[in-house]
Amino acid sequence: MSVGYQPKWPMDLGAPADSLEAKQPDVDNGRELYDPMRFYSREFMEVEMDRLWPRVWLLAGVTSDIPYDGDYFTFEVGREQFIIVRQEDDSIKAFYNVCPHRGNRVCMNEHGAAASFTCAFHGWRFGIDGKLEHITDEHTFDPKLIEHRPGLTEAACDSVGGIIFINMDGKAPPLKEYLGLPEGYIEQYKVDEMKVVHHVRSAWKANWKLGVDAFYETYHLPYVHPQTQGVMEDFSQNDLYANGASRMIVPICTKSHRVEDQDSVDPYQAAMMADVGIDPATFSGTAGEVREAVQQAKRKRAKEMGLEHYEHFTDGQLTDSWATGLFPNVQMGMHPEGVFIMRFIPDADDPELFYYETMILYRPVENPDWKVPAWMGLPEGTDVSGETRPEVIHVPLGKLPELGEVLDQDAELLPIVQKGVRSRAFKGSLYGDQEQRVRHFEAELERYVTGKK
Amino acid sequence: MPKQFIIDADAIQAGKTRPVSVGTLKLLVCNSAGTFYVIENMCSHAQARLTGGKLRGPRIFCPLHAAPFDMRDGKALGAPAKDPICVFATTLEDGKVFAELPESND
Repeated sequence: MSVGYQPKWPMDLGAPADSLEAKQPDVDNGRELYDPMRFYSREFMEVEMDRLWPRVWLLAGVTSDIPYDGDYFTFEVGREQFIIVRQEDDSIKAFYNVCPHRGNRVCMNEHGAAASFTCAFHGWRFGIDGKLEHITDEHTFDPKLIEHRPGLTEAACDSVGGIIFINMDGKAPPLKEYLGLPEGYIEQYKVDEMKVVHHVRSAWKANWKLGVDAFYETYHLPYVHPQTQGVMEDFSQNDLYANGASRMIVPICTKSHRVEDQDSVDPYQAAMMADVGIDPATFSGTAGEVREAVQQAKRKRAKEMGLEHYEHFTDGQLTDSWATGLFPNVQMGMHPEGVFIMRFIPDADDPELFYYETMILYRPVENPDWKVPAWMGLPEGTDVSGETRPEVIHVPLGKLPELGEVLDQDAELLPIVQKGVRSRAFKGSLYGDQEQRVRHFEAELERYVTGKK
Repeated sequence: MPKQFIIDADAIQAGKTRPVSVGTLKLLVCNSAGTFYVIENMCSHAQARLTGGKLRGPRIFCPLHAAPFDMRDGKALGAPAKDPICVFATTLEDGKVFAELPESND
């Protein structure tokens, strides 16, 4: 057994061309230096509010959060907040969370269940279909003023593979076309069968795009997260799709090619083997053989436990992270056992503030021998039964999100980068090929803000 | 807190609520997927009746402003409510719902 791929640049894991794992042809996104004011200017933020956010599909949440009619959650981005609510016919609708009477929010919780929405200001009531049901003291209104029976304003809403998206202006291309990913890419993970088991929204003192940029490359791993070198390759297979979407496959359970000793097993590798039932003490292979051994152990365990969904995944998918970027502000870490949805949410007013939001979705397995994978990093005592939807944990500025060492390192880094990009000495990011996903994203953003899209 | 018979379980379908008066107490019996809860039929926020509130596990959502409450301890779980509602220890025996109610309620 060997490491199973060539750790050289450009990275190509060598999957068959017709598979979802296949290396995609490169895209020439040029060499432009984008003006760094995009990371701090209020004017640029306003252009985004006008030309970007209303016109794209935004990941709002997941279908498993709203299984029954009347179930809802709210989703906030910039100055807007939406209610996403399951209808009686099982469809899902999205409404601006704004009372048409005087502008108050009609829904004040992040999730729940409702037979209708009653504004807490003057008691106007709206159905879960958004239609006006009741105006308090209606006889005191000029009938002409309310003859259009003002209801909640609807936004376009659609879902794919258990993930719900909204589009504010209703004019974006059809969702699947917009997302730009190959057919079946999201669906294969069956996110609709997973449950949110942990949800954190933390404030970071940086522009939202610096968040996207940092999470879209593994070039920074050896410097910001050196501890990952024992268990993660930092040359990723980068794949660029249409409309700003992209993917990087990060080989896991393997040592970085930068590490000289490729023989002895790293303690992180040992922990990942123990997680799937391999005793590291009796494992006779080298560090380079761990990834394949873990893949085989996962296959064997899935067969024994009757976990049929594993059959659809390639060996690589059983260990590696398929970090999948959806334009403009999402990255999903996709694994058979669960999916990490990360969103980079702009603040309503401050271009130098964003919210890093992470939802950990977990596929409950009813088997006494099954253990929650340690690499998912769930806090001790996390309820993984999926029976109760956890509350969103809000982490204010100045506190670390406590999502594990790696994320805390990013949270400490980005406010410092934010300071640097404001300097008169900084002329614009110089993206290398390992950062081609970042350029792919920034180039697509440029098309929106300059009116080309 | 004497245990009192409240209602036959089969009088309330799963997912439904039913108001019941015992003396001066206005109660609401809730059948959340087969688990019964007896609570006071009054939201702590705007004094609305909780009749018809959506039930999800141990939670009820006020039908007026959707304030969520935990029916096990009465705790308000979100806006706009801040104060708890009154709840009563509830048991199901031989298809009958019992609750422990305060002694002087008539």
